[in-house]
Amino acid sequence: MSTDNSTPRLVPADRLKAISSLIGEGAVFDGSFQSSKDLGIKVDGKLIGNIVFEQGGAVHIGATGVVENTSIEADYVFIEGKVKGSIVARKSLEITGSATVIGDASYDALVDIHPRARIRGKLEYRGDVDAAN
Amino acid sequence: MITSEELRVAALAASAKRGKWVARRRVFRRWLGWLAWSIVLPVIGLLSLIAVLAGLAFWQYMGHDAAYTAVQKWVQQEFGNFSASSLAVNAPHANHANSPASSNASMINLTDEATPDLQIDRHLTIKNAPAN
Repeated sequence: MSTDNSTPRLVPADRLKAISSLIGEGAVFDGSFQSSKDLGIKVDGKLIGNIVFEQGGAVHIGATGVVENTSIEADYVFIEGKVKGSIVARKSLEITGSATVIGDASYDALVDIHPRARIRGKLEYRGDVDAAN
Repeated sequence: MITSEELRVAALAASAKRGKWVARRRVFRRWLGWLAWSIVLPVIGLLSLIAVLAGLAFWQYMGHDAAYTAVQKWVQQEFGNFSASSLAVNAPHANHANSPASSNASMINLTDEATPDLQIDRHLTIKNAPAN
C-alpha cells in the first residue's frame, strides 16, 4: 500500500523508495532524529522523540509505526501508523486510513486525509489563504 | 556478499509488504466498526422497537382476555399442551408423609393461648394440647 506505484500519492514514490533510515518493527528508539541533508526515514517500530529535517526530507510512519512525544518536520510526511505530537510538512502531508494522529498538523502545499483516518488535533494550512488559486 | 544498498532496498521492500497488510487489516477493522455502529445496531434497535410496538398494538386491538387466549392457543399449538400439575415437583406433604419426626404436624403443638396467626402456613397441622 505504501509504495504501491499504481496508487497516486502526494508523497512521490521515488521519495519513499529513497528512504535511507529505518527503525524496524519491534525496535524502540528513544531520542531525536535530525538531519541537515535531504534524506528520509521510515518508522515501523517505536520512536520517542523528534524527527527534524532542516531541508528536504521524507518521513514515513509505517502501519506498525508509533511515534510519541514528537515534533516531525520535513518536506514530505506520510503517516500510516500512530503519531502523538505536532507535524509540519513543508510540501505534502498524507494521512492514510490506518493512521491515528493526536496533535496538530500543518502543511504548506498539499494535504490528503483518508476518510477513515483518526485525527484529534488542529490542521493548519501555512500558506497564503488569500492568494489566487 | 550483500551490499548495504541491497540490504536497504530489501528492508524497505519487506517493510512495505508487511505494512500493506497491517494497514489493510486496520482499515477493514475500522470499516467493520463503522458498519456495526451506524448500520447493524440501528437496524437491530429498529426491529426490536417494531416488535414491541406490534405486540402492544396487538394487545390493544384484541383486548387483554382475547389476546391472552390467542397467545395461549398459539403456545399450545407450537409447544404442545402441558398442565401446571405436570410441572409440579414433589409436594411438601409427600416429602414428609413417612417421616413424622420432621413433619410439621408432629412438631407443632399449640396451647390454648397460641396465636392463630400460625395458621397462615397451610402445611401446618394445628393440634390443641392442654396447657401445663
